[in-house]
Amino acid sequence: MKFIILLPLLLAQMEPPSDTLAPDSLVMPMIRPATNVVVSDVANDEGNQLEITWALSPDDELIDAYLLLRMGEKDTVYQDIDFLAPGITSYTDNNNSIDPYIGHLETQIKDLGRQLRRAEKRAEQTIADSLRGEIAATDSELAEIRNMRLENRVAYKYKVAAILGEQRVESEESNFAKASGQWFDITAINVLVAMVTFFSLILIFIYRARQGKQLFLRKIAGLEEIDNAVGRATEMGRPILYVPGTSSISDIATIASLTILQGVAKKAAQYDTPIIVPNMDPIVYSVTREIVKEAFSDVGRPDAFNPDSVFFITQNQFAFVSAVNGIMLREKPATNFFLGMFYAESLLLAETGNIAGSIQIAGTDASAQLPFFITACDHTIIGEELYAASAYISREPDLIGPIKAQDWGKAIIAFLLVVLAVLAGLGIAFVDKILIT
Amino acid sequence: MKFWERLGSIDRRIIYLVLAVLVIVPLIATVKLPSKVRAMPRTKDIFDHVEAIDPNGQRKAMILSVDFDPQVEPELKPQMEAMVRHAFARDIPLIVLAMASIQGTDIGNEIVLRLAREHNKVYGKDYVLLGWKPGLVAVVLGLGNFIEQVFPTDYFGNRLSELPMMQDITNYNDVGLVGNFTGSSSYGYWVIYGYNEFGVPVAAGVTSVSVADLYPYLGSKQLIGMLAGMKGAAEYERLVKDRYYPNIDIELLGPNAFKVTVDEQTYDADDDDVTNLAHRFKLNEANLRQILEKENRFEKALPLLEFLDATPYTRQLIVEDIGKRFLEVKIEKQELPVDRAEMLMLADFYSVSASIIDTILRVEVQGLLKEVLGAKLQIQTADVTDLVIEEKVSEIMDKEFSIIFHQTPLLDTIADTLILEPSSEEKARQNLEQALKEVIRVSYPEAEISDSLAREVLSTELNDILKVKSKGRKRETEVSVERDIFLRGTQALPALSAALIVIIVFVIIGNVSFFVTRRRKK
Amino acid sequence: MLKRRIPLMLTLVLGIAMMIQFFIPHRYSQVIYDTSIEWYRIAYSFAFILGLSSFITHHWRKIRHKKEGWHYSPVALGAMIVMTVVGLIGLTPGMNWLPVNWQGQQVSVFTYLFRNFYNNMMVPLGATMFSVLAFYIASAAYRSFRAKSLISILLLSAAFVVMLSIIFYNVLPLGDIGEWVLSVPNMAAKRGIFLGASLAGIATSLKIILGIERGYLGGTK
Repeated sequence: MKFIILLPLLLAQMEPPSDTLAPDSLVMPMIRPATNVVVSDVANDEGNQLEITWALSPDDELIDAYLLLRMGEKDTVYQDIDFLAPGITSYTDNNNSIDPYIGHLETQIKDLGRQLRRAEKRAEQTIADSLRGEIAATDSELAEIRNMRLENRVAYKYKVAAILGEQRVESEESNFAKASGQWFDITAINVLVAMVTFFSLILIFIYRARQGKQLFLRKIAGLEEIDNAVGRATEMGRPILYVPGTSSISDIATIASLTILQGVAKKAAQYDTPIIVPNMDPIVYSVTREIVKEAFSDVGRPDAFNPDSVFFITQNQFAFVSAVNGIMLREKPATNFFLGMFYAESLLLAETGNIAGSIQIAGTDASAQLPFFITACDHTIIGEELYAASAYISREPDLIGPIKAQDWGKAIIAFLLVVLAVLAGLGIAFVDKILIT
Repeated sequence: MKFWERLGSIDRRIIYLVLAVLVIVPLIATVKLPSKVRAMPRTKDIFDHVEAIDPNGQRKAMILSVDFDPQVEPELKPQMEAMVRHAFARDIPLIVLAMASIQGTDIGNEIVLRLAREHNKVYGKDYVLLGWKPGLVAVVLGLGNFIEQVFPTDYFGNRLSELPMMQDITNYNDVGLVGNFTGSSSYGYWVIYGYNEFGVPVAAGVTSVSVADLYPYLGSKQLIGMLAGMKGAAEYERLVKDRYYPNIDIELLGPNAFKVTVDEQTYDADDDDVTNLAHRFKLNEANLRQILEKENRFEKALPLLEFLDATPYTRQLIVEDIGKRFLEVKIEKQELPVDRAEMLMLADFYSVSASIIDTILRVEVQGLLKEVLGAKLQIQTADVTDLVIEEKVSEIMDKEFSIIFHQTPLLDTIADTLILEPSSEEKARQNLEQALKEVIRVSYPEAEISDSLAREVLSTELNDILKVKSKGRKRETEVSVERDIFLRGTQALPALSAALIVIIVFVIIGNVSFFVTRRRKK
Repeated sequence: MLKRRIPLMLTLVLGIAMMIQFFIPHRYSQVIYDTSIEWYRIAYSFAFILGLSSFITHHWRKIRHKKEGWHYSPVALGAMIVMTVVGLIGLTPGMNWLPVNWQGQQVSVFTYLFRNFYNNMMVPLGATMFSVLAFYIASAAYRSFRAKSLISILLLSAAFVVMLSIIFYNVLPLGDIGEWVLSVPNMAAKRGIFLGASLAGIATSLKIILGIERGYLGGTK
């Protein structure tokens, strides 16, 4: 294999340059070809890609362009692939430009077929004939273009031609190479290592928590307050408002919020306190509805669930805000919960709640919105505390374990950052690549 | 005692009222702005990056991704307009698309189409609108491979491969900058999948609320720079205007003679700008640096435009070192007598839109016609009022505006103006005829007076009058192009400052009250 | 029991499958990824029907029971119906019923109404809500920015520096200090929060995939 790669290289060096020039190049200076054309499969890709590199022609400054040529193992002639500007020494050959065109031709054939059937139905002979001709032409064009695709598991070789005016000087042929897709992305190895380490930490701590080892959780005021808040609402006889963020279900902060909603809804169900849950995302709406409903049946009072308490408003950010603000000012809830992902609406909600005189508990990991919540709410759950909520409330060992693992994870990252920073400061080059994907 | 306590609990409605008044007043009353605005570094970074794009080299194009809803338009639209103007002024090929918000398509298209008209840009050659495509990650990654793969057709349904501009723009390798305007965090996709995967430079324009979110990306240089809300827009507008949009005055001297006055341009630059400066004015960078270091001043007469070489106009460029690593670049005021073709080229060079030229000339021509009609033809104002003349003139000019430029006799135009007013028709005819005969008898005593000859002669005569008149003419209407019209963000800047000052003042009041009452309690 | 077990099994299998998928660049793996995204989009459209029915029933009940503020509900329902009708008809390509002249173009009256409602009602209403933010920032800052302790004094002075540097960037030499506050201490705190939240997010994801965290499914049993 190595020999094949080196062969053209050796040949290129041995051969005296520029014997093959056209005789009519009186006006144009004579040019020499590019050398050392090497083909290899692109690593860590999905296949159908080859990387071609070459050394510039010594006359690179003179020439107009390079022309890249390709030939498959079963073909007999070279195909033109692309014209490239002087100074370029590598090219990734793939089907990116061909595939959309193939798609275009395919839909065109379908369209023509439809027209043809219509014409046949109406017995319009001349139109049908011309359509048939068009279809045949497009078909053959499609076949031709399909032929130009770069296939996996077929060996290809390349040539690079230097072009100046009419002159065209071809390089030596390259080695043969086959394109293939890979089954593991080697550049993601650091992600894999980090993932495995962190996941093992989590599993170890869950195991230890299950063994009965007591794990310490520091006091989080905002989470402590959640229980009291429901009680206060019951005393005052006013409802609770719970906004599960304004993002979609794929946002992990939304899911964290939903786990808290479960606890809050259950408490509310026990004390018979009305709970209002407005939603901005339809999927989140269907989940919150289910959660609140289940909470009521969990405490044995499924009939007490008011289907009107959980509802979808709109996906428009500020329309949602004005609707929720209206609810706050009309219903005057005793407690407002704003937990999950929030954007520019955070202060609009929190300040209105403040005007309405509600006790407010907010929590988000959107750091830009934290200052707004902190100034306008009574308690703010910051960043990761939001995720700790379900463990904090339930005290289940399975849930507390991972929190310990997170602390270890943070410690490892902090340690790595310091060590790598020092190493980088000492001028060790590879360290800044360790963390990059 | 009570006073201090009360200061600590001012009703929020009073705060709202004060804020509202202080924000609205500077918006209504035009506040005179400082002549020089120094841009904050994050804004300047983007500007410098765009300055360094070579519209003819590699990485020449600019992609603007319009990812905001109309709700945040007041902050983000001026930002985008300023960047589009910058691209158009530098002839950078512009690609506009929407990704995170479908409503961005309409907003983006409106801005670009309007500004393209102003800059005489051609669709498909100078800019391309791609429309909206869902899929965020897939879009950003796809554009890196092959733009046509993601957008086989443009917004209007043309195949991308058939647009001349897209012939040599394939993927991010040909893109010098991606500008993302967003009210959410869609710049994250451009950074993670555009910059990290393909290395295409990304800049973001965001609302002031989310500015703090961008600093991690700015710190790691994954974002070239940032436009921060209205303030960022204002700064970028100033930067673009100071360099590319000097105030211009176009004066009509005669049918094919104009005087173009280009106001003095000054702007502050810093050390990094020397490269841009050299590039823009085709100077030798090393040489420029050397001179600046030695003499703190560089002065050169630059040929204004290559096409004007028949009349070798120059403009004086002065670069001065004003200390603290700052340079002052100054291009001196020029007054150029030019013909119509040259005027149009100059206007194009300084990005004066056709519609602005139109307005200027309309006012100028109207003034001239009115003078001529009033003075030479002795029309009674009672019969033909100013208003009537104005109406007719604009009506005619709508139809036959080109007449004015092509030295075609003005006579028909003028005559029509008068004759079309029925009550004064007779009088107008008489006056006109009298004037004709009078003029011709004086100029050509022996000539046989035929109608056609009379007309021809009178037209020449009128042209002369136009020329003479304009020399000592006192201009009645202000028609110079005060091109502050597009500084939308800048106009809002005093209001923004007022709002911040209100906040600061109230916070101080609150704290003073807090301290006083606490001390008294002790 | 089965009602709960099947979703949990699906979560486990698909969660692990997508984790593995991340490391495989091969075409088959990419196809699986693309398909899953398509599925998400389709599921999303169906959820929207649920949302819509919630919206309608919610407001319908309000009107029927004459609850507090019920008179807003007919407006909401009416607006929804009108926008849906004019939008569906007006935005159909090639639609030209009842043409009117709008901005020099002949467009269907439905298109005209849709654009008009959108540009002249939706947009200003949204912008109004957003601009209320300025007022709220002022009142919230006045109420809670009190220099009660050393930390709050530090916070307050940082806020002042940043605000003053924005107003007087040209005049005072505060500009660079403001920039420093934003790009050094602000960023350090932000990254701390970000790292913590990301790790917590990953841990939560794993808990969900393994079925340890079930709160989002509702109920505890």
